[in-house]
Amino acid sequence: MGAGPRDQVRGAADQLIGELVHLTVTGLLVASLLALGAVGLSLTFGVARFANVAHPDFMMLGAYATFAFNALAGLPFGWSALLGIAGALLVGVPVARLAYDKLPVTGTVQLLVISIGVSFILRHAVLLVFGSSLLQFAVPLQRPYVWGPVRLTVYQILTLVVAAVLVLGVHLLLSRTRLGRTLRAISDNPVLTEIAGADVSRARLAMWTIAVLLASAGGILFGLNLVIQPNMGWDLVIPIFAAAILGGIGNPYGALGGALVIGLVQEWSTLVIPAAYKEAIAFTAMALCLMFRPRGLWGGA
Amino acid sequence: MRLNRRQFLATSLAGSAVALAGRRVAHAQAETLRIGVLTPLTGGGAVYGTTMSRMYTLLAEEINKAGGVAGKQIQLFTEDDQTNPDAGVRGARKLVDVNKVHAILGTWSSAVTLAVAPIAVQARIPQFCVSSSPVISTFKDDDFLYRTAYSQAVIASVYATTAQKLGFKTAALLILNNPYGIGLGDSFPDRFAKVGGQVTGKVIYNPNQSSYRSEIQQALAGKPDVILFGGYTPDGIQVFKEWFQLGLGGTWMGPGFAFDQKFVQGIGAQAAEGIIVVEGAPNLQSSAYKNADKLFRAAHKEEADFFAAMAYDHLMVVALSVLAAKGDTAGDAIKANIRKVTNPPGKVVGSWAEAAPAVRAGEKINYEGASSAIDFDDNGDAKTDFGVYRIKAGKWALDRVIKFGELQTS
Repeated sequence: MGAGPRDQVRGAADQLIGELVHLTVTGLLVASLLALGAVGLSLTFGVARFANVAHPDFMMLGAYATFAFNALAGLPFGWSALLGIAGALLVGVPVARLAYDKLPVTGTVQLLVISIGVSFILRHAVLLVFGSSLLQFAVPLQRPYVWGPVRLTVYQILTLVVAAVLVLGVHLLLSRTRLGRTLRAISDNPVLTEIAGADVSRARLAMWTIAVLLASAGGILFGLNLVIQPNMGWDLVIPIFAAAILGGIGNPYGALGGALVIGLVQEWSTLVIPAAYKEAIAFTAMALCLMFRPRGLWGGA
Repeated sequence: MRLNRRQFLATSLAGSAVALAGRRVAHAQAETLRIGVLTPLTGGGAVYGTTMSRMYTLLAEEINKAGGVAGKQIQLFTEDDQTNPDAGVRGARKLVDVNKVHAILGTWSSAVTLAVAPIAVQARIPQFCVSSSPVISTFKDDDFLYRTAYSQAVIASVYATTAQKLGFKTAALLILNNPYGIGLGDSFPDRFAKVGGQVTGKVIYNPNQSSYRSEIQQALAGKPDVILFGGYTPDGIQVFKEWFQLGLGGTWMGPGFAFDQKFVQGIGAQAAEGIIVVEGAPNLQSSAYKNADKLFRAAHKEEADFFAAMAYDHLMVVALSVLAAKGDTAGDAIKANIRKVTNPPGKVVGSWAEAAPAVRAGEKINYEGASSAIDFDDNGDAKTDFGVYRIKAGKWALDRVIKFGELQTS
């Protein structure tokens, strides 16, 4: 006796649900990595008022700094990651301050072009020091924990948790602290905020610190899940910008939402459309959203 | 133009120095067989190019010790093509214009081979390559371009035959979105159907993604007996890292250039265990291979692989052709003798010690190579056999050999 038609339908439905759950988990993983880039990008756009193309390269900085401590110096991964973030801050924040805050340049387009230059300099500096080959942290591959259709390794769980904690931390910082209020005020009206007596320079230092911290953590997690290579940040420029724009650029909460939409739509689309097109599908979704909500999903009407 | 005495003196001295140097070069050229070695020593093909370059040196030493080719010593001129067509063209120009070589051996990447070929054809000297692009067969080379490697045109048949011999009835494809991957995806299902197999799914992936989990699950969804991987080492490391960490199982098969030593190091021996690797196989039983292996082991403490074997064949074929032409090193003379010394009928030979006396005695020989039988067809392609390996404890272990004649190529 084979399975009856009802069992077959049920089997097919179970399989479909299983696939959907798997794709949702994968989409959340992709979204976590994108969000760690996009939230910082959106924050800096709101405060510094230009699109920092070099932002995803801060992710690469974090990954390489961690690699140096972990695989070269032989420290355990956890300590290496913390030192790696510190290393990325020590390089990234002064570079950002020097290139974007200290130069006597203010135009949005000028700063955009400078940031493209910064991106090239960062990538080629890394190429010079580490070379172009693929690198990996000195950590063993893991077998996954399996809960029905959900399959996650400890690294992937770490990715989800770290992304959630960091984004929540940024939320608390922006909503509950004096610094957060200043940052939001600058984002709304920089001139008025300065007239009102806020220390704008100090606020911008804090902003770059937050941005580099989030990005370098994202880069380390990316390296943990996949590989480390000099173009890893550059390859993420488009999806990270898409997530930030979709969220209404300048709005860090929106960037989180944008990352979720891009990650989930991209992975869900593979159910019906060949996977080779999944990035294109995500961008089509972004274009459609912006047609109806031009200031982003969470932007004011 | 007026010259003062000092300038005049300097100019005439320099002039006579050039003339003297020129005569010395001309004198030297009359005595040696000049071989251009153009392999990748840097870039993606560096591992293979270095092996090949070593083998050319070892064989040239052996032949020179035995008195050279018709009294001529073999002189190697080495250039690094950097796995890059621009550098390959620069290297080839230098070999042809400055070193006036009689043959160019060793190009590895198809792009480099095809960029260098017009230079060799124009100079009317033979070129031997190990590239796999089907275009190399049809390239209008006036019969100056030869290859000892397999063409990608047959590789789909090789996978299909391998899958059948290993008892796999169903297969899925996970292939890179580029001409190589898509080409494999177009040709494999048909070949596999011819040997009674069925393709359960074909998933195309883009490189540089943040995740390959969806693609991997889709490829495995139909529970295929084997999954054919059509990508390269860098994306392979990322895909297989994610595959292992999904813990879904499955048997993989793919090309040697994707599952190379870097790949195994990248994902670790544990994750690589059991992967099936298909690669050109050396002609293990031939006396040519035994000699090549002996030379290579003595110098480098490693066995001669397929690429070392091909390098051995390149230089043997050129040297035997020059010998058969009674020492004439002109490209046309070499070309006219290549098939005479390599293709049947004739006395089967493999090493210089076996072959040279026979040729000198005027016997018709059939060079049986280290990488294959080295019987060149009208396109200048040799028909190679294939080795099926399984990765065991991080190393390729030979499982079986698939003869070219066993393939269903039509």
